[in-house]
Amino acid sequence: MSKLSGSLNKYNDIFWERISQNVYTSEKSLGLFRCIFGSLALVLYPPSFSWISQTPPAFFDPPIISIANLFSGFPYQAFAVIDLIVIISLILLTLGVKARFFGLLTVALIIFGQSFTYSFGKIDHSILFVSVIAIMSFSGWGTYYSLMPDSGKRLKSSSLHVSIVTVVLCLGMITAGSAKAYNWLDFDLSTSGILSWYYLAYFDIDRNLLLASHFIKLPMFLYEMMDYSAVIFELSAILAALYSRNSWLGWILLACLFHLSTALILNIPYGVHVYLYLLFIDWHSLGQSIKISFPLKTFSISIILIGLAHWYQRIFNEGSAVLFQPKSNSILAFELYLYVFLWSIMIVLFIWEIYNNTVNINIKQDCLLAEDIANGNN
Amino acid sequence: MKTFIPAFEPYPAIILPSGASLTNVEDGIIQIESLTMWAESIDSDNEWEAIDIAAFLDPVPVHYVYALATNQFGLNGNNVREIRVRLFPDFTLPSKTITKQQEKKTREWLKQKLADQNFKTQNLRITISKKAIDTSTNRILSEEEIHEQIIRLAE
Repeated sequence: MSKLSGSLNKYNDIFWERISQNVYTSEKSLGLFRCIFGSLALVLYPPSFSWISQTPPAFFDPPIISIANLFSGFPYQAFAVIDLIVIISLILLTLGVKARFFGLLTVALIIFGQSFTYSFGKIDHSILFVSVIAIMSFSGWGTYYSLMPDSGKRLKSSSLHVSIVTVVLCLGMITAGSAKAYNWLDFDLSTSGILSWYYLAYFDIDRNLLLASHFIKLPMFLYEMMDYSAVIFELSAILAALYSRNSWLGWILLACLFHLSTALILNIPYGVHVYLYLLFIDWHSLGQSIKISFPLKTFSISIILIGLAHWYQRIFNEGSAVLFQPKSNSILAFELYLYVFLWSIMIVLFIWEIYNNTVNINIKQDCLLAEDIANGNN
Repeated sequence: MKTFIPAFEPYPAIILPSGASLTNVEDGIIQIESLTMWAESIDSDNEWEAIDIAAFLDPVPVHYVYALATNQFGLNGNNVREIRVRLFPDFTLPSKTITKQQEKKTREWLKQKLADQNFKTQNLRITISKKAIDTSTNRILSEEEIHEQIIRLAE
């Protein structure tokens, strides 16, 4: 028994060691990641719940296992207050004012609000956005580039937290991929998973923008291949994270391409994972490469102004997650263009990151080789 | 749990969207079951016109339409749920009974949304139709209604 437990412990240690080697990010980079994550979230995604106040009470149909089930209906008065506090918390998190406390407050409020958003009978899957904040709140991301850094006993290294985020992402991918594998890997050319998405969206909810109308006339086996590729892609995340840093970065690059294509073809403006993937870019090195120093003062003032603009819109019952945009189903086209742009930027960033990592590996190898030659000569 | 008993999907949980649905494609023709919502035209009697679902639901995101339509926008009279949790002490979660006043408010909201699109506000019709689509042209070859539901909004 103790042998089994010993070998399980050994494999567990190897697992986490490999993951943290492959997804390692410096703490300075994490500080910059917090600033970029927060500012992007403030401009494009401060979760908004006050729109629920404009919906009728009979729509309330919460999932069985949900906090919303503790209520008999929508708590209409609470949503505007939650929106305002979420914005304040996000501003303070971004500026690094007690990032841990305000990160966790943001998480609690978003989960509470989303429990009601998903009470219209369907659960959306944006959980990774709050997962990143929840996990990273216990890391050192509130130490650098912070107006009021987190104090107290800090963990020695944040690589454990980045590793946990990675494993959470991989687990999420397994939940999506395994359900697809069960239905889509049928080796039957007379069925298609990707076409069921495409045609329902195209005909039911008019998702016929960008390249949607060109996604026809392909041979059936190509659609079938797309089904299998989606399954393989989702189930391979954990293998990529375990294999090497470049394989992990390559997997994220594929993920960015996948999201770009779903925006272009299926017109799904899925942007939640942008915030997560940004964690794996070495922002500190990027800043040094392009010789940009971080303008903390200008940044702080801009973040406060963005937050105030959101506040102003919310107080007058206007606005949406996207700054200066109304809450409306009619902004689909705008969101699509936005996410096509964002995913394209992400693709460039990850190509740079892979290139940079490869160069670093080569330099390290050259150094080791030079050391070996020097030792041999001695 | 989510795959086999969707109603028991918990929130919050680390679950990503799978969208593992399948559709049949034979000889370049695809069969899909499509949802349409209809209301009576204000200009003529007994003539149904398709409504703009995104505008109708606004500000509720349009992709919630399937769940809301299945639940008949909460007006099916079944929206009563009582969950008892056997703990110490026992407690019962708040009941989800829709009161007459809440029902009235919901009807008014739906009627206003129909009026905004210049439809008569008495009835809302939801249909599921089986469409055969030519995948090379995206042209609908045939359409057959397989389910119809009329929600009476007038009291």
